[in-house]
Amino acid sequence: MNARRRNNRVIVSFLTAACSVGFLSLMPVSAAAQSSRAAASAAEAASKPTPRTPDGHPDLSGFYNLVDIYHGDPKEEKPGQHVVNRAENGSVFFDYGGANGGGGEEGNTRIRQTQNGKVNMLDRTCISCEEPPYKPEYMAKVKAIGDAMYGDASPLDPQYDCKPYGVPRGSLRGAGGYAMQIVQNAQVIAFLYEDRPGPYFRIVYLDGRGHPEDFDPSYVGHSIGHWEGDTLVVDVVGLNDDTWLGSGTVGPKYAMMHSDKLHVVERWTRTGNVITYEATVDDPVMFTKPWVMTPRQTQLAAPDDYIRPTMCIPYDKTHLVKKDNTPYNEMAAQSADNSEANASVPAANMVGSWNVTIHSTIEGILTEQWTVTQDGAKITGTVKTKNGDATLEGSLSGAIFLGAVTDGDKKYVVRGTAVDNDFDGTIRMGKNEFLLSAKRSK
Amino acid sequence: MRRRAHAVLIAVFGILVAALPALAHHSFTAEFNPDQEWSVTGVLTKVDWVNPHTATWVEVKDEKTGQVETWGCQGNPPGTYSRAGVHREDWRIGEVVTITCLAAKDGSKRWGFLKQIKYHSDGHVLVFRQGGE
Repeated sequence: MNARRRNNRVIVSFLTAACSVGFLSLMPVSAAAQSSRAAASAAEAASKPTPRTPDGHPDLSGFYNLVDIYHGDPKEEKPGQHVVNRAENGSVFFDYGGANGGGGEEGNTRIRQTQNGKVNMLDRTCISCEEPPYKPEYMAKVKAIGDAMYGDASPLDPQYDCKPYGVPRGSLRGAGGYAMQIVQNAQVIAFLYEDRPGPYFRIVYLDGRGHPEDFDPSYVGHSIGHWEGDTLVVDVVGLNDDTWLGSGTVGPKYAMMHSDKLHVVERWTRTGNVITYEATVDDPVMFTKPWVMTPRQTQLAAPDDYIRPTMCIPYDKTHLVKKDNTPYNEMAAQSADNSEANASVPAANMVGSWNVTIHSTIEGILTEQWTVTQDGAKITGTVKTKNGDATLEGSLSGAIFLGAVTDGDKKYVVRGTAVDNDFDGTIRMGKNEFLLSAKRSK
Repeated sequence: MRRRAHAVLIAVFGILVAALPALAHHSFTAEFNPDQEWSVTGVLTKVDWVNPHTATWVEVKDEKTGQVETWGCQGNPPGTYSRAGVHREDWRIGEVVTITCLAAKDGSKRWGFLKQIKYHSDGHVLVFRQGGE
């Protein structure tokens, strides 16, 4: 396999992107402002010259995405950072750094990190975002759905059917690893999106036409735009009622259903490499007054980034649970058999003496000896190293071992797989993770 | 002798992504139990390289009955993987693997969130971790 070539490509990609500057933010502007690093980076991006078309208007064309390359010491772990270690032998270690895991940059009001280092998604709300002014009868419905949700995920949300996010929820993309390409000429602006239901587009007409009278409602509606100074103002009607306004990916939690009488006025402003999106949303059926959305921003992507035109399959919907961890589908709960899943794979046998080799990129090859005893899935043992003795503790789930070597006040997490007389895995030593292999002696 | 020639990690790089909920469109804890895992051994038959989440499929044969069951695990979005340098070709279809996944909260016993794929032919592993662990 072309592991070396891949590595080169990855490194080249890293260097290329590292030359670009850009912290990309779809978070509300007020939240962004709280992160000095984000603000500094966004300010730098915004200070670039704003490109213009031959007729003098700002040119929004470009590829926008929320991904950036980490510039610092790649061995240093930072919250909110995906880290990939690719071993020369082909093994891959991927650490997701986003909201699911180590995310939680200070100043990001949408993510709270709990004391155990895990993100409590129940706290994931857009505190500073304006909520839609629903009429009481609709607000009651929205609250009922929202208060039952685990975090902000509900199977009632059309996104879990892989339906388009629509307008205004999906207008400014760049979230969830998804991206947006804008292509502009004097007559039209095309917004090209990569995510659900697959790659899809939206057209804004700039040629002075009005809305058609016989337009059939759709997920992106009918959009006409004009320039007010350097801001593109887009009027959108013809939206169906099969999208939500927010929750989930973007926007406040209590922003859900709307009618097909929705009328959205968007304001798109490009300043340097930053786009600011503002919208006023009126729904005469469900709102008491127009909803003025909290502005959002996104930014040009790294120069080598591009649309990944993948389709969407709604695997999540049937598995989402409520806030109290119970399934939405009671039938599923009754037919499920967790005990069978738990008992499906007996723990491997790790009893015995193991000769262990650690491939440290810092200290070179390290060897130690483990003497392992086992009680069911529970593993204990002693570890002999050149520096003295330590202890091993952990547990097996089938062949998968998760545990740690404890040496005084130092703890080294060990993960691996025990098959017959071979153990293969990794050991985390400080900020580094090294391959670890072991053989059971006869 | 199925022994691997291990080598040191040579490529280490990091990608910074703004720590936003937008990274994944929802928390995996809305579907999966971070404290409960399962693992099975079988043939890696398919990876769905799709939004909003990838899915890895393994066929597991019961040696006693001969019955084949399909087990599946959700992963992160394809764009997240590919922008970080993890690619579809890292899923070697047709090989014997042991996969480890977080259990589904709704009780579906053959569904989970992908933690690890281990290839039996050469011992290579694909390890997927959420931060904070």
